[in-house]
Amino acid sequence: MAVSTSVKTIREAWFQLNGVMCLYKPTQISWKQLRNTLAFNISRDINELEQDAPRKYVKIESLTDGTNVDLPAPASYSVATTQNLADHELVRGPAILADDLRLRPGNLLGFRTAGVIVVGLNKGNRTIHNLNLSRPTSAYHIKSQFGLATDSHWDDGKIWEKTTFIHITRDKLDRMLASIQASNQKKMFEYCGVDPQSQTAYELASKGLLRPAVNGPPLIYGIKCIHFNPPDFTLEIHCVNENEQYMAALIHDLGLSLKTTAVCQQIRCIRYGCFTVDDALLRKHWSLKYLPDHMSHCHTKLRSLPDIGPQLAAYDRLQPSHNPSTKS
Amino acid sequence: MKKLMHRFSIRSLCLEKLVTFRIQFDGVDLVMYQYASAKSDKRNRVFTWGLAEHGALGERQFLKPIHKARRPVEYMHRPYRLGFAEENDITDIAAGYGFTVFIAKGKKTSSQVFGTGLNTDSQIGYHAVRKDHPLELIAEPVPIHLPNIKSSITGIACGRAHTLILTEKDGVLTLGNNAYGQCGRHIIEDEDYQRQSTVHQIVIDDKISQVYCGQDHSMFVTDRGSVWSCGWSADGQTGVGHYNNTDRITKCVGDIVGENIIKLACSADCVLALNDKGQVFGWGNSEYGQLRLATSEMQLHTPRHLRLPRTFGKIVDVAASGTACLILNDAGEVFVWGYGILGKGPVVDRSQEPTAIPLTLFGCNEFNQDVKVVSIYGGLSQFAAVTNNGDLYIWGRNRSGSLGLGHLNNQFFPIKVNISGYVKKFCFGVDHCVALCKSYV
Repeated sequence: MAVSTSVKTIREAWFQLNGVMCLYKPTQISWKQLRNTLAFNISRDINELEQDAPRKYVKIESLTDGTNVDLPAPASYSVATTQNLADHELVRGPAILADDLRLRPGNLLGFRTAGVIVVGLNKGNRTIHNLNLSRPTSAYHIKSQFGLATDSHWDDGKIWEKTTFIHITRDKLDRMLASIQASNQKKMFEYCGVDPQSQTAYELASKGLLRPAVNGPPLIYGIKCIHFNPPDFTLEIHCVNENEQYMAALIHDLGLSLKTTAVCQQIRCIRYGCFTVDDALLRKHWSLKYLPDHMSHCHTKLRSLPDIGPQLAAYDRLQPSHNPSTKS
Repeated sequence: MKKLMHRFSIRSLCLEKLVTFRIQFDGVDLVMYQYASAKSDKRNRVFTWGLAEHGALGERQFLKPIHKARRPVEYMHRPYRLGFAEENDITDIAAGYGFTVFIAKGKKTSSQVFGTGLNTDSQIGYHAVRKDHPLELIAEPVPIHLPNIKSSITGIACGRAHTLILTEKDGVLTLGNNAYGQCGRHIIEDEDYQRQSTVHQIVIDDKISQVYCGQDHSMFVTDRGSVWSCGWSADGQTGVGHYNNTDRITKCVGDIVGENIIKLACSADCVLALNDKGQVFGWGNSEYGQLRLATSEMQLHTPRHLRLPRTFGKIVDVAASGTACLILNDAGEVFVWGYGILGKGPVVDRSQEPTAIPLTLFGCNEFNQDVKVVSIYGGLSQFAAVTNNGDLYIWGRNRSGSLGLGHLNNQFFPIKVNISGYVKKFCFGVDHCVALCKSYV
């Protein structure tokens, strides 16, 4: 799957550059910037490898001028092998362009979110597709602050109001989080795409956690406070189908329900499916020197997973018209 | 920011009051809002849902909309936060067949009983706007006049058309229908219960500590754990050893004699009792096999001990619907048997033996492993359970949206009701529900 270190030429490297990688995305860069950086790094490194020998160009020329037809055929043509100029570096440019690399994200992290991002490269995109069909959960750490409300729900937005938060205790926060979690578990049954009156619904529900059948509404599986020192607090959230805006709004709503206000300071993705921050490759290592070994590590990790298949994705096809409205 | 706030002395505040401070911060005028005081001001909230037409939800606007063009609300299929409970501190609730009774405690006054809903049998007192024309239906909670009661009110219970009010020192007061003697007074043939302003007082030698109502019978538990009852006994639900109606409070017989009974459960005519050792007793109707552990008869007029498997451990709560029974053990596990929607899917509609309902249905999963059920409740054809997180789970027949799930379909397994509060007590009426909650903040 991945490029071994013994690979010397561009061609050999290219044909083996397929797979899934797990990167640590810094904050304040978008997916497009990350993709461009990554593609630039890979293409830069691959073009520094040894060039392949250019293909031969077989040149067949007629020796006669077309008038003398009496001569036998082999004698009338000359065959010469020369260098194919189409393969010349000055003609075709660099062997691999950044655009040649197909990069697709598994979990699309927002501009401000830092943390684990899983990216598929070339044929690895198919693996990413299959991985996403099983709707893996992500885990996030959200650092937030009480006492402020802003227009963007982030701490650097335009301040709407300032509030007191002296009444908030760990107990009150935990109780509110438990309520949010229980309400989301109820939504789980609505999104799993089966008739709630049926025996299937009961059997699915009694198994415990369900993955949504559709790729739409955000769903929280677990939410707890891991650090509480007012006004600062940190939440750990396990969820699917989330996005950055949803989580910022969640913090804002949490503040309102606690009779104060809250803003988001940092969002960090610490896990996506089986990939954790320990697997994630830092920005300084996004180069051809580290990526091949890393991709083979990721591949082993994916292979070691139990074959869960596309969980509940079958219901997508069973009930194509199912539209999970947010009744609550 | 924290230092900044401590400079101001924060007064204790009303819940809704908003206080602003104008403060100087880096030379800029900022307004600091305060929505809650530092003092814990958790309040009791009451949520009601179900059929609204009989006024038992306690919201006047459901029956008489302020806007003339708006039609009255037929049913409320999701929990409705009762405004009455915001103005009064509600300490206890009870729901009957189409009516609701609250105990409210004023800041200066002692506790008072309020009632709302159907009043066809004067079960929530005599309320006449015009003389000799008592109201049959009361749209919002009104105080129930209780003559000459000096001591505080400690408990209430509601049956089909009667109400029991337990007082600290003055025994039990009964109101409403007495056709079977459920009010504990002499049965009068063809009595007009609608124009009734009688409040009967029941006093026995022992101190009554809990009151319970079945459909048309009343049960009393003394502080020593003995059980007394009166009222309808066609199925033996009074547990006094015969099938005749009793209009005098009578001590129950059978296996519960000498036991310290701590809890009774009855919604129709099958009664379950629990003693302090965690043993379960039952009497009354057994047409659906509710008491099969003790008898194969359809009815049982003498309380019998139900022999449960040892593996269940100590039972800490019991609940009975019209056709099924539910018990809870000290490990937080729930067992059900009987007939109807048992909470084990649409296929399982009867069970002879007590069978467990998976705890995963009450929100116990890999992210939340310490979930336990702490109390259970039974309605006529519904059940409810409250977990240690204060979440209410409900299942059963959804008559008039009385499950509060936002739809009118039956629910075949426990599912959470969206209530913004920690549920402290829950009551099933016949087609409405009342929940007494504590706010999170």
